[in-house]
Amino acid sequence: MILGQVRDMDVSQYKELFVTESQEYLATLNEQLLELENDPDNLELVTEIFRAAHTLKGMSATMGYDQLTGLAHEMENVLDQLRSGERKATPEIMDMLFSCLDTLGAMVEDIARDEPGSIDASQLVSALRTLRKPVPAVAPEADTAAHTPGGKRGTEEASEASLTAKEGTAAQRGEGELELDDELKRKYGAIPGVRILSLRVELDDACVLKSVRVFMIFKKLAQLGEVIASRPPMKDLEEEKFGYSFEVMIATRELPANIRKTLLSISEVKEANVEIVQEATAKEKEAKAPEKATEKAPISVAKKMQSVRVNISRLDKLMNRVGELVINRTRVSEIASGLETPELRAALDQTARLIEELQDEVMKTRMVPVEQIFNRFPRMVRDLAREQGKEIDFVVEGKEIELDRTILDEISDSLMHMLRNAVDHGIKTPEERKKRGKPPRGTVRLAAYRDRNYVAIEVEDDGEGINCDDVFTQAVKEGLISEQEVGQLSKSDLLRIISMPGFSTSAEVSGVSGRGVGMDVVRNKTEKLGGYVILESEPLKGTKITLRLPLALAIVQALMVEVAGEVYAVPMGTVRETSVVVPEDIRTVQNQEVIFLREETIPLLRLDQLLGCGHVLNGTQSFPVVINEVGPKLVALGVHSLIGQQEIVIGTLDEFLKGIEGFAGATILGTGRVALILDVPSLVSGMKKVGGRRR
Amino acid sequence: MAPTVLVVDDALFMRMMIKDILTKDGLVVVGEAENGLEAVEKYAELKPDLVTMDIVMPEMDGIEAVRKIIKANPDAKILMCSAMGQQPLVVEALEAGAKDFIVKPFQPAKVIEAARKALRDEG
Repeated sequence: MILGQVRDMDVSQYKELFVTESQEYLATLNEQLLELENDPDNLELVTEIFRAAHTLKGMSATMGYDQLTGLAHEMENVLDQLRSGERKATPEIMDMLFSCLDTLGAMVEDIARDEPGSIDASQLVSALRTLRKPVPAVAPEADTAAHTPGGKRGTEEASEASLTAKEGTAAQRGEGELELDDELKRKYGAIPGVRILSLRVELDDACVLKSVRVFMIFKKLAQLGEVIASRPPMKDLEEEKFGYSFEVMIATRELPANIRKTLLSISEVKEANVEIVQEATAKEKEAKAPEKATEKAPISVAKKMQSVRVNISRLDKLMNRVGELVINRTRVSEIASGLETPELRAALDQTARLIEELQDEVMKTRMVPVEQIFNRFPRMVRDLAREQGKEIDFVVEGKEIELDRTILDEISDSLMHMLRNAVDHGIKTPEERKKRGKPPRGTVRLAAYRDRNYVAIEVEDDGEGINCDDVFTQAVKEGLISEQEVGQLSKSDLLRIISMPGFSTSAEVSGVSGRGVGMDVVRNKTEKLGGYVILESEPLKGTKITLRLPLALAIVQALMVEVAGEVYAVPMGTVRETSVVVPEDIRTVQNQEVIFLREETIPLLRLDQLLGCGHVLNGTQSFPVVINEVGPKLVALGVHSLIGQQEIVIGTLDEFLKGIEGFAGATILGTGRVALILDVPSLVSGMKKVGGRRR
Repeated sequence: MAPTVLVVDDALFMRMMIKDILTKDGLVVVGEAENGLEAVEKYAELKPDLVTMDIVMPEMDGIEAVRKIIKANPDAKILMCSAMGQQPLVVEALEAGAKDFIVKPFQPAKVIEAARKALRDEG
């Protein structure tokens, strides 16, 4: 194919950039199409969509990806009809445009994998073509594609046809002599100094926009004289009904050599022959030579740095190195603390600051807006809703919030799961919703927001909600909990039960709200990342699931505490404050030890007991507590001593230790010792196992 | 002094490609713009010897940008970057004062030819 080849240029080096940018365009298109579906008369939006499709087409053509170019072209044509008001954005057309996007996306994926051409888009292309209203033929030769006037905005038939069907009869029309009638000869002959020249202009055979080139040539010629006639006639030239050469008759005062020079100065003019048809009668005027020196204001402005695309694995490596640097710094600091050298201290402080800045910068480079994955969901929700005959408003908030790239990738599946659940099980059909006295359209909300050192991502629906009793009954049926336990369960146990391994699938089968599907996976993934899940649900009102995620992986601020001679790290994300508790302050409420702090009753967890170190804290000593805030819950962790705040690099526990609840990982301390990182959310959710039941 | 160029296109990919083609030929790309509005601003700021201008862009299209640039700088040398099928738009741009056009997919030789010719053009 002639179009698809970029001659004498290696385009492979641009592939990666092409893939990334195409994907961005496709994502934008997806978003805009969704918007259009809700606002089908928004012409501005159609124009924007058209623009994106057009750019995509241009990019693909440049790279020589014919298939992609072809499909984008067809899509553009349909969009053009929407733009011109010829067609309306009906659901059928929207479906087709969406499937265009999917196919284009798949093609780009193929290109990314270096396996282009495996996708057959012929069906889609012909569907798009039939969609195009057969425009009544303008020219008689409707069997060749050459009938569309070259001047018609937005159609490309003419230029393409000129490439494919150019050797046809039209080409021959350029042959033969261009005759000039005597009257014209006399008319121009009467003007002194004016000669009539016949010009034969030959265009480069790689010229694609011939009509425009012709326009340029005529524009230039008009500055030099008067164009009297052309062969083929002007209309045919405009419609590109000619081969690569044409003839022009011009009346001018210029010298033939000047005319030739001017013509050759135009791009894509391969040759220009000038013949004198009728010489000037009077003395030639001086040929004007407008050799205006090209004005130049040589400014050398340093190219502004914009952005660089970096492979994520490089950033991972960089992050690891910084992590190691942080460990080393702590280690060096500890060695230095034993020495009384003020200079060393100062140098170390400086190093510490620099490392901190470095770490900060590296973290920032890894941050990407959640938009990158959020943008996939409107389409998914739309498709699911359409499939199931549900009406759903999908609201997305906080797209600009940034998260570490790796975290974002990791939670993508979880969010998909949560949204799927919301659509599949949360929102009912319009009829059923009406029966429940709700508006027929349901709302699903996906929102991200910053909450101190965390990013919270919520998936909320105004659907069925979860009935606790049903879930508990189901859990008993499944043998996950005992009858007796049920009596002591409350709403806050919902998440724990639902995300019990084995619960989910059974729930799906029996149809109990189905909310459990995949919740164990969601919870595990989130907690593995150092975050936690909060589930809130009100029967018949709706469900809200919140993922609280750390801003960045790997390095976190932690409060180091000591229990029975061992050091533990409490990630700062949940730490609200520390305090000291005297034994008199401790009460027991319903068999659970609590402390009172500024009017608040906070359950107390003694870490020594919890970790099985025995009762090291005797009843008379006061001891420090770390107050943690996990969602709406507070918990005070009783420890033996507080060591201080420091940065830790999170290391994951190996398979062998992974299953143990209560630990998020381990870290290497400056001393070289290993400290376990406490997983406070899981300690809280497992709280009832310790010290009896609460409430 | 190597001629300076301002590259205007809404696709980074396209900008990169044009830039590479021109740079290999010894031109210096001094600036890039993503839309017509930015192009007008950058032109005023950088006063480049040449501009490559995409047509279909958000904010302000290439044709409007040509009008604005030419109005303030009648000698500005602007090359339109067109796709197939945009004949009327290119004509509009040329009428507005653009010097020449190149067609996507770009062939480096043509881009350079047009650039060199436009730079030599005496108006």
